[in-house]
Amino acid sequence: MSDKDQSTEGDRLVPKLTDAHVYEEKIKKMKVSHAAQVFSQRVGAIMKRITVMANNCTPSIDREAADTGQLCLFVDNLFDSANGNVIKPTPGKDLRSAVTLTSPHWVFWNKALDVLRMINNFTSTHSVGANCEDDDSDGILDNLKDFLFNEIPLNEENEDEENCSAQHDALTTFPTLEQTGSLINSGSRAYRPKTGDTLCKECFYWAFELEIHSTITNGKLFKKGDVVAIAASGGKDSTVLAQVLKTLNERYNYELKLVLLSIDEGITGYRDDSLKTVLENKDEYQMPLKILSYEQLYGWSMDKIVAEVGRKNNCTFCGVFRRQALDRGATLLNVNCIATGHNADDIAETVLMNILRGDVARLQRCVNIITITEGTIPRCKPLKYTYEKEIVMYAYFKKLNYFSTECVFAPNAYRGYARTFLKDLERLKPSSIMDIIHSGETMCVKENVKLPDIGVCTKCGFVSSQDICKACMLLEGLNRGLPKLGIGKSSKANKALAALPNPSLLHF
Amino acid sequence: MDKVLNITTEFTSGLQLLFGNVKKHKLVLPEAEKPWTLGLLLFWIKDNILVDKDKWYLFLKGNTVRPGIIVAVNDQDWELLGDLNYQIKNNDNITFISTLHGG
Repeated sequence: MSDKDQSTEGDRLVPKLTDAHVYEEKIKKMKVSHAAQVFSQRVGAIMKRITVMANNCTPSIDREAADTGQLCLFVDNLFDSANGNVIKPTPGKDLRSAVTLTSPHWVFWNKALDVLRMINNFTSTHSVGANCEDDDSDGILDNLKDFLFNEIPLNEENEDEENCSAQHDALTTFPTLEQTGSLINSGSRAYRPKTGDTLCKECFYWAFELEIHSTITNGKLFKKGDVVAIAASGGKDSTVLAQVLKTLNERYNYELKLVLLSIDEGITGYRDDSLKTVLENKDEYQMPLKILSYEQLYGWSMDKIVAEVGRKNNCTFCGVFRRQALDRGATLLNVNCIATGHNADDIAETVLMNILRGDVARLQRCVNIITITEGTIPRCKPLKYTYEKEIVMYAYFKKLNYFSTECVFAPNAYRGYARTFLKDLERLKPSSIMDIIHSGETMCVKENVKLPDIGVCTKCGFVSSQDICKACMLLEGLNRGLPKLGIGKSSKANKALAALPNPSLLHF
Repeated sequence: MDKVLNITTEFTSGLQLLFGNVKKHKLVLPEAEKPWTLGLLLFWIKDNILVDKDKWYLFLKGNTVRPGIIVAVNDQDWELLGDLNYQIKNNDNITFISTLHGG
């Protein structure tokens, strides 16, 4: 039939169909675009119609061509039904639209499953080739069934064509990326680096929140009734985290009790200002707030520490102390879990840093969405897959109140280099952030590599991979006037400590 | 014919520190031979309203903004508008948002 069509001059019925689509030996490579051209509405309809028409004349065409045409139409419809990009159906393309409770999708899908089952039976009984193992096909059918009936979002309101927010409220399942991308609206506002989609403000909120919801449910981050401490700094990440967790908790009935936990490192011109934002968040989100300070926990504020150690390595003190401070705060508040605002960019930066430092143990740990160590409170990162750009766009569109000054001590931090490098990479290829996280996740260490055992600190009882934890070591150094003590390898520090008078007498 | 453009620029999320800690700037772009694009505006900003001139590299890199700074024109992501090639219109509101700070 294709040959006949090609023998005409310029007035072809199916201009896109070439020999490479029809003759088995000429098919170059199986591609989606190829399949879409074969299983198109046009090819199917013409093949069917011509067969019917031609059978009234001579010479007639094989009747089976009509059935082949019908098959093409069926596959085309199946594609449409799962690939709708408009809310209201267009004439002749009933299935390429949003799924509602009363839309024709349900009837079609039930029929489609029967048809697919028939095809399945047909191929398994007829195939004799050794490469045709009939085991997979049932699984594929189940997956497809699962996908059609459970994964495609349901649109209950179908009246207002312009307003896509009505559609969002009705959605309860997580759509595939193709589907979020298909919700393009004329008033588009944001470009999503992660997916390449263009979304209007409302669609963007919806996709953004739903992705975090999916991260939370897939990662099983929380249990019903959990008390969750949000590590709140007043910055964009923790502010957005608090906002989104509050929203999702109400929308999806997580039944969580959310509290804010802030650490005051004692950095004048930075933390004092940012804590004001946290106080405002506390009122706005109606969450209890607990602030713990370095001064009160360790007797040293960051201002004092920097005066002692200078501007190099100061971030080591701050980071180590904050980690433990959060643990202590969470214990005080008696929570089940700490949620931190680490975003995808942060995690990709950390992966890069750990590769550059050759820190294998941390490289494995840093990509975990939830870290559970015996004797400590689990920590999780609901924004692990959320791009920094999207967090900022979300905060900007929602006009969230957040604090955005870089820490006054940070410019010399090692992280800055990883960050600049990552931002340059992102501009070249936006998916590089996800790619780096993925690399981190899939990296594994040979079994014979010895990793540090996680135990507890003999001095303070908090989690540590050494006898004496880094926080105690750093603190000991500060108190003895040897601020470099805890910096660098712990084996060196242990030796230095042993050489000191009264090594066992640690000050607290 | 009056070819002068009146626009508003906003520098937020820490970027205002480079602009005398002023977030909102009402600007009048003088008549020019070539149409005003965002690409041209960036350098005009650098030459005319940037206060902390020594730190221009915190705003620009190469011929564009430093990676990690988001630009929005009337609340639309500039990546959707042809970024550097976007032709500025009268009364446009152009926002520069830094993502380069702690969270």
